[in-house]
Amino acid sequence: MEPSSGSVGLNLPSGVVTPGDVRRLRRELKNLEDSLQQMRLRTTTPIAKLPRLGRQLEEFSSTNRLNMLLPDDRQRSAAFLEHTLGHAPVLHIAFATEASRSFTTQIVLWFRQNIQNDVLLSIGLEPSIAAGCVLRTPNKQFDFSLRSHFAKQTNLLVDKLKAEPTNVG
Amino acid sequence: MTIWWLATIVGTLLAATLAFVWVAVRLGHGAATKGKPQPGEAGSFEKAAETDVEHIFNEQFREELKNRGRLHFEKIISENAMFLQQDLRLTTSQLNEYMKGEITKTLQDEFSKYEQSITDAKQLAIDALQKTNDVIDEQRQSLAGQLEQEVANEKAQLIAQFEKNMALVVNHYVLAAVGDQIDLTDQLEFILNDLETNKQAILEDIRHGA
Repeated sequence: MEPSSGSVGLNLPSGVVTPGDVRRLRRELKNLEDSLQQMRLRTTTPIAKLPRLGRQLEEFSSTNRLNMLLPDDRQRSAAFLEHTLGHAPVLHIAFATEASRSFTTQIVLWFRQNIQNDVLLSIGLEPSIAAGCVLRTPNKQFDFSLRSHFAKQTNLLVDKLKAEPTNVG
Repeated sequence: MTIWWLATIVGTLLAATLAFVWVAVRLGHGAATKGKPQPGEAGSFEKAAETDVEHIFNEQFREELKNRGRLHFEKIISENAMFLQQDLRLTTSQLNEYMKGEITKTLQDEFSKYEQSITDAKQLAIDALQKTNDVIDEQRQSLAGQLEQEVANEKAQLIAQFEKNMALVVNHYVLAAVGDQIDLTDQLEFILNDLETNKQAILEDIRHGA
C-alpha cells in the first residue's frame, strides 16, 4: 500500500468506493459543520453531543478515530476529502452484472491494500463481457473478462476439432 | 522342138482370130442389109412401128409394167427401208453405246471429282473438328484447373469462415448462456487473481499516468 502524496494521515473507509461517495461524504461533513455552527449560534454552552451522522461519515470517523466535535478533526477530514477528490486515482471497473456492496468493498480493499490507499473506483455495468471485469486505468485498459478469454482462445476449439475430429460430439 | 510347138500354137491362135473376125463381119453385114429400110417405105415403117408399139405396149401391158415397177419399187423401198432401219438401229445402238460410254466416263470423272471434293471437304472438316477438339480439350483442362483452384480456394475460405464463425458463435452462445448465471461473488477470486497478476502494470500506469 502506498500512501497518497499530500495525505493528512487519514484513510478512506471501505464503504467509500466511488468519487460520488467521497463527494457525499464531503457533503455530509459540510452539513455537520453547518449543523454545529448553527448549534453554536443558538447556545453558548459547549456542544457535547453530535448530531446524527450518516453511515459513511460514521464509518469514516470510526476508521480514522476522529472526533467530529473537534474542529481540527473536521478540518483535517475536509482537507483530506478535498485532496482525495483532487488527487486520488480513479479507476473505472466494469462488471457483467450489478455489483453488490460487499463485493465492491472487497475489490476496493484490494486496490487500497495493493495499489494505493486512496484509490477510488468508478463502477460500471457491461453485460456483454459475461463474466470477469474490465479495468480502465488512466492510460490502459485491462480486460479480465470471459469474453476476452474466449477471444484469446478462439482457435482452441478449431484446433481441438482438427486434432480429434472423430471424438467431437 | 520347142520352137515348133510355139509356132503351132501361134498359128492356131492366128487361125482362130481370123475365123472370128470373118464370122463377125459376115453377121454384121447380113443384119445391116436386112434392117435397112428401103427408100419410099419410111412412113410405113414408122406407122408399123407405132402400130406394133401400140400393139405391144398396150394399156394392159403398161398397167402390168406399172404394177411390176410399183412392186419392184416398193420392194426396193422396203429393202432399203429395212436396211435403213437396220443401219439406223445399228447406228442408234452404237450411238447409245457411245453416249452411254461418254456419259459413264463423264459421270465417273464427275463422281471422281465429286468424291475427291467430298474427301477433301471431309478431311478439312475432320481437321477443323480435330483442332476444335484440341482447343476444347485445352480449354476444358484449363477450366478444370481453374475450377479446381476456385473450388479449393472457396473451400478454404468457407472452412476458414466456418472456423472463425463457429468459434464466434460458440463464444457468443457460451457468453449468452453463462452471462447471467455466474454470480459476481463466485467471480471474486478469479478477478482478484487477475488483478494480482497485473498488479505491477496497474501500479506503473497509475504512477506514470495522467
